[in-house]
This record gives sequence, structure tokens and C-alpha cells, in this order.
Amino acid sequence: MGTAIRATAVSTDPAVRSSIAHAATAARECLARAGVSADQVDILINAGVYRDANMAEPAMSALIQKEVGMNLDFVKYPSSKAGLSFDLMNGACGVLNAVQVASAFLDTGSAEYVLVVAADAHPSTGATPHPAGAEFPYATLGAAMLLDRTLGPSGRERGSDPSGRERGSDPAAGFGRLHTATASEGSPGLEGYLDLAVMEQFGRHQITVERDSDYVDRLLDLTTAAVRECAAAEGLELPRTLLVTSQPTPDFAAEIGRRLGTQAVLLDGIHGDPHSSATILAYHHAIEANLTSGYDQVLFAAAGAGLSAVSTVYRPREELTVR
Amino acid sequence: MIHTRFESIGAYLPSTVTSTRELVSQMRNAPPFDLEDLTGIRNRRVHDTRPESYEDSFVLALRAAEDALARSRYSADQLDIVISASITRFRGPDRFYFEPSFALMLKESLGARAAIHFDVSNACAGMLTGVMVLDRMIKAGVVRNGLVVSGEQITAITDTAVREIEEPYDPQFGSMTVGDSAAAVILDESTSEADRIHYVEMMTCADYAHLCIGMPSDRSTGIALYTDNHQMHKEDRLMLWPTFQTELLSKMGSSFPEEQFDYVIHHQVGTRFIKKVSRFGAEIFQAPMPESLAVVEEYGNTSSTSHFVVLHEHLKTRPGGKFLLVPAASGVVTGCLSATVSSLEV
Repeated sequence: MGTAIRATAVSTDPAVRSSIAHAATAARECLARAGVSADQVDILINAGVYRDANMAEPAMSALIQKEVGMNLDFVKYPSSKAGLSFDLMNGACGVLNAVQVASAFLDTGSAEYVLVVAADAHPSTGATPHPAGAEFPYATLGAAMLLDRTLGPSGRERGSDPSGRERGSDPAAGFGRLHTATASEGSPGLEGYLDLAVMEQFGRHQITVERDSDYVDRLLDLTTAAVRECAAAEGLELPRTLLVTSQPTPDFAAEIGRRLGTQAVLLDGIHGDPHSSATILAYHHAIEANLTSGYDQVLFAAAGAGLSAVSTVYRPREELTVR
Repeated sequence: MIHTRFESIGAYLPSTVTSTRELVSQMRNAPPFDLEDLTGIRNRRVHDTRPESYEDSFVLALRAAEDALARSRYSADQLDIVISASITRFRGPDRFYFEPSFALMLKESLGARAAIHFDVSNACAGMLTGVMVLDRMIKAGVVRNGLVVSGEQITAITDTAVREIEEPYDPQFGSMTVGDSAAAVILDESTSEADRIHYVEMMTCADYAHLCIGMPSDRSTGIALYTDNHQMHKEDRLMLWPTFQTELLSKMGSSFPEEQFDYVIHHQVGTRFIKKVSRFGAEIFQAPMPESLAVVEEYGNTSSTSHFVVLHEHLKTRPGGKFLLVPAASGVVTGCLSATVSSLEV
């Protein structure tokens, strides 16, 4: 039994400046692609970091859930499931931690579908940013990934998909274990915070992001080591593995691929660091552009502030094609 | 089938006590009603603001985590995961953090070298959500044990409310009821029914996600919380928990009386709120409610830590038993955690 990607979707319209709108748009598109209704989702996990107006409450996931129309009121609009949502924050690594958490819910039979979303946006959401928050390195976009099980808890096969293939018949398919690597010494490399010392009454419109000058170099080293460790532990041949990574700089993914001697998915036309959405975005692009042919598996690697990196192998349960 | 348990619990409450009367006397526009009478909250704890011993969300969380670890069989370096679940993310007097995660910073300070880390954020249901996540991760074999911790320097919203409240029905009145605190729990596998989390299930009814929003003020330098209290605590909302738990118990082939709870711990919004929620529970379950435990009179609403601050306080003087923890959080989030606690020390 494993955790499988049922569908992915992205939201990249530059006219949209809200993290909630991006996450919700991607979520709705993802559910539509999967042919799964919002009511069927047991858990929605939002891994986005930078958010509209620097809100701290409620969980951004609740506002996204409302837009998606999932479990609006358990008493007023009864459905077969009571959906739960929450935020899981860990910078660019959050989405893969969310997959790890989703797998625990799916494995224990606590959920049939888990929807993981991510989005980042400048808190000003298009209004004139406060000067202190003008330098914002992150792309304004969102992504969603619907997860389900490759096999039922008692070996029960799931229904066949529209193409007639039996789904969920490969017990080795799905995500592998998540490997975590953390640099134990020194500066976190990057910090993102609301600076109360300068915000005055403009706290909803500003955010401070500070990157050390050697942040990206340290992140490259850490991510490379994390991927090597994951590949060794999982017994992967790296040249037969497509890399799906964070993209804190435009050439980050290519450099990781070069160091490891394999291909990494590169994203074009993204303005800024796609941050929390990056790995879903890159995977989605790989499927859409059919970059996966010739590879046995995908290796997801995310890295971010702390410095920490997480990586996991993904073996698709069927051909890596758009569903 | 693996079960989990609370292996250790820790809490920390700042030593400074501020009364509701003191707070009201600082308001520019004092309300025409008696806030203490309305909420039942006499006092709350407030973080230390002296530069040499400053207590922010991070320091508070660290104290509670250290407290839990002091009585745990696990040392920090044996923890498999650290989950931070606070709403407030203050580190230092001027910084509200979005990254790195608080869990990473806490893990490094505690020396939990081998631990996975991430933050879970779910308003006042944050710690219970963290416990639910950890429960499933232990059951799935992803981790063997873990720490869920939250440090809340939540009175930042009180400072803003004292400055800004103008109207008797101002949306910031809820901010006058909160208190600073921290709590931590360590979970691992249960081998005895005497110490076991029987179930933890929650839901978010997102139609009401906009009723309670915490964000920076647009009128002064501060973080504010804006609550539509009338809508938030409407009777329809209060039916969500007992309806949810009734369905859950019916699927499990049980009923509220059969569960034989010794105590119920509601979210500590105020004494009247707690009574009202229990009354709705009794009506919908058609069963008497167990003894309701509370610390709200002395500590106020401690936000994401509330259930565990109550449990910790209870265990100081009274025995364990079977507890029902009921979240009520912005989102809106509700649900139930059932646990038997026998050997937890405080």
C-alpha cells in the first residue's frame, strides 16, 4: 500500500495576487482533473508560507477550503464525510512533509483522499507594498496535488480508471520514505518575518525576507547530499531518475542535475522563486510536457530555510501521463 | 493495531498576573458592561517584557518543551519528530516569523538532532491538530514518538485591543480574554488501556472561516484579532461538536454514556461559553455531561494550548481518568479527543 498522486494542477495567472485565490484555483482544477468532488476530500493540507495580509488566524487552509466548497457546514449540508483542513508550514519543504502526513492518514485508513495545496503571495496582494517589504523573492502562484492510496487496506483493488487499466495494482508504487537532512550549524540562511519595528499601521502590506549571500550555495550542497542519501537508501539509479526540485534560483535545478548526473525538471517563465509550490509545479510540468518517459521514477527534493532538505522517491502506479 | 498515548506533558505560564479590571482601566473606551462578569475571566498571565528575560512565543514554547522532556523517558535526541503548533510566531520583541519553521528552531535549541520537524497551524485547535497528525504518524509507523509544542504570546492582540477598541460591540473584544502560556506533550505507543488516546477526530466547517481573523492592525503597530462573536458562537455552531461526535460514536457502535468520560475539557473561551457548550452537548447526546474542567478564570483563553494547560493544572492536584477534549477554533474547527490518562506526572 502506498500513496499515489491522483492529479495535480497549478494556478499561475499573473492577474491573481492572492495566495488564497491561487491555492483554491489550483485545488478546484485538481479535483476536476481527478473527477473527485470537494465532498469526497477527507483532509486538505495547505503548505503555503507567505499569505494575504500576513494573516495568522484562522489556518489559511480554512479560507481555501471555503473557496473550494469542501465541508462548509456538517449540520446544515450533511455529507458522507466531515472534512478537516490545517496548515503545515516548513518553507519550501512543507509540501513533501504534507505528503508524509497525508500518507499517515491514508495508511491508517483515516482518509481516502488528501488534497495538498500550496501558494505564496506578497501580503499586500497587489496593493502598493510598504517600502520595507518591496524586495520579495517569491513567485505569486499556487499548486495542488490530490493524493490517494495505491491499494486498499485489505488488498482491495480500486476501480479501474477510464482507460481501462486496473488502478492500484502495484504494491511498490507510490511515495517512498521521506529523508530529512538538516545543516546543524550556523545561520538559518534565510528568514522571512513581519518586522514590527518598522511596520506601523502597514503590517498587512509588508514582509521582510533576508537571504544570506551564501544561502543558495549551502542549499545546493545540502540538497545534493540529501538526494544522494535518498537514492542510496532507496537503491535508485540516478540516471534513471527524474529530479523534481525546489527552484530558489532559476539555475538551481539544473545545477543539482549536473552535480548528480541526471535530468532535473526546469521551469521557464516563472517570475521569482515558486517556493512552497515548486515541487508540485515541477512535477505537473514534467507530466504535461511528457518529460518523464525513459525514467523509472521521480525523485522529489525540496530545500529551504533552516537549512534543511527533504527528499523522497515517487514510483508512479501507472504510466506517467496526464490523466 | 497500534495505539498512542500521552507519554509526558509540560506547561509553562509566565509569572506576571494581569487582572481584567486592570486591563479595562487601561482602555481608552471602557465598555459599558462588566467584562469580568461577562467572561468569568478574572486574571491572565502576561509574558515577561524585560529585555534581559524577554519571553516571546519561542521562549515560552521552549520552556514547556523542556518541562515535558524533564519527565519523559525520552531525551531530546531520541525524539523522532517535533511539531510546533502555535498561532503566534514571535521571536524577539519585533519579529513575527513565517520561516524558518518554529519547529526547526525549537528542535535545534532542544538538541533534537534526529527529529523530523514542521509547524502545524490551525488556530486554537493547533495543538490538538498536531496531536492528531502525530497519532496517525505513529500508527503508520513513520515515527515512534514525538513532541507537539506551542508557545503563545497571544496577549499581543490584547495590547492592540486596549488601544483600539471604540465600540461596545467592537470585533476586538475577544482579544481582551486571552492569556500567554505554553504547553507540550510527548506521544508514543500505548501498551496499556490505562494510558491511551482512544481516538482523535476533527473537522473544519469552512463556511465560517471569515468569522475570526488574526492579522496586523491597520490602525496602529500591532497584531489584532477581529471576531464576529455573535455569529461565531451562534447556537448552530455549537451543535457541530455533539453532532459530529454522535455520528462518530454511532459508527464505532458506541454512545456518549457508554464512553464513561470522567472529565470534559472545552476550549477555554469563557465560563459562560463553556457552560453553553456543555448544555448543547447534554441536549444532543441526551446524556449528562461529565465534570467540566476549567482554568479560564485565572489564565484566560490561552488559545492553542488551552486543553493541555487545563489537563496539566488538573493533574497537579487530582487523579487522572478518562478525558474528553473538545476543540472550538476559528475555521471553524471542532471535534473530539478521547484519552485515558493514568501515569502522567506533572
